[in-house]
Amino acid sequence: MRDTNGFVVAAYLVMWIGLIGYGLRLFRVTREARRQLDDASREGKGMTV
Amino acid sequence: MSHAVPLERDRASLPATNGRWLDWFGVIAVVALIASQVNGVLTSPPDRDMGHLQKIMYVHVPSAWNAFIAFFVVAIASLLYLWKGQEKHDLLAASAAEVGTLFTGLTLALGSIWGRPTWGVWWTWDPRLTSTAVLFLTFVGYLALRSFVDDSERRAQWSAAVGLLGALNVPIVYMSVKWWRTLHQMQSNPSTVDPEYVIGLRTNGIAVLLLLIYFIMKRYRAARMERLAEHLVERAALEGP
Repeated sequence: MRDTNGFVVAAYLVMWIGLIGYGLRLFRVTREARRQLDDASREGKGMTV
Repeated sequence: MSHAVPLERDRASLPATNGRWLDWFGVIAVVALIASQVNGVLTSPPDRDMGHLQKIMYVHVPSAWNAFIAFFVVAIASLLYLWKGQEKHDLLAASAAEVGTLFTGLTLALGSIWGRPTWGVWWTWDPRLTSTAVLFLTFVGYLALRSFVDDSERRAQWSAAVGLLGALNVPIVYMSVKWWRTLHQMQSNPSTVDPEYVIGLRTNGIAVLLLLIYFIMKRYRAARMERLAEHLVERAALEGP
């Protein structure tokens, strides 16, 4: 049984690497979208948005 | 041609100005996932045949369930887009498709890790595995399509069609273990697994569902901001200096 424990650990590691990796991507995408929105709002300052 | 959006209304409809409520929801989802995984790993007894390998079920099965839920959202949002033509439905479909692709990829990877010690192979052309791979590749194609088409209206229409067709594969994936003689076991759900594993499976399923909702909402919110910025730039260019 002992030699299969590595597969269990690998599965949980893969799960968390995937989730954390996507979480980091979301963080970057959100930061970039906010920057774009702030820039666009400044450029169009005359508009009522 | 691109979508015409009333800017004032669109900006006002961005959920809660700084999205802090959403991040708190994300923290709750992560804590719930850690708690349910620790509980599942520490409290469930080893399976008679598989031993501790059974614990992979707590990550593999919830990933698959939630990938299906994400693609269900894609199908509904795509239908709504084709019916009403509102950009927000297209952006919701795209956000759900991205997250669904992540969970399908995880399902395949975790299934492979489970399959190696159980079946002796990392991969086999079993109907369940093959149909899941087709589902994954369909939505990789969906995401690629979105990055290749510049016109937002055409991109949304094509994506809605591909999203709907792709989501039609979900019932085939689910039923594949019943319809064909297959190496993959029957669907793992609270009615087919040993009662000892039901609570662990349910709590992990719910925790991953919370994370799925967080990911989709977070991605959707970013997509709305991206599109609003594009509309602002377009409007500024049209109005001139």
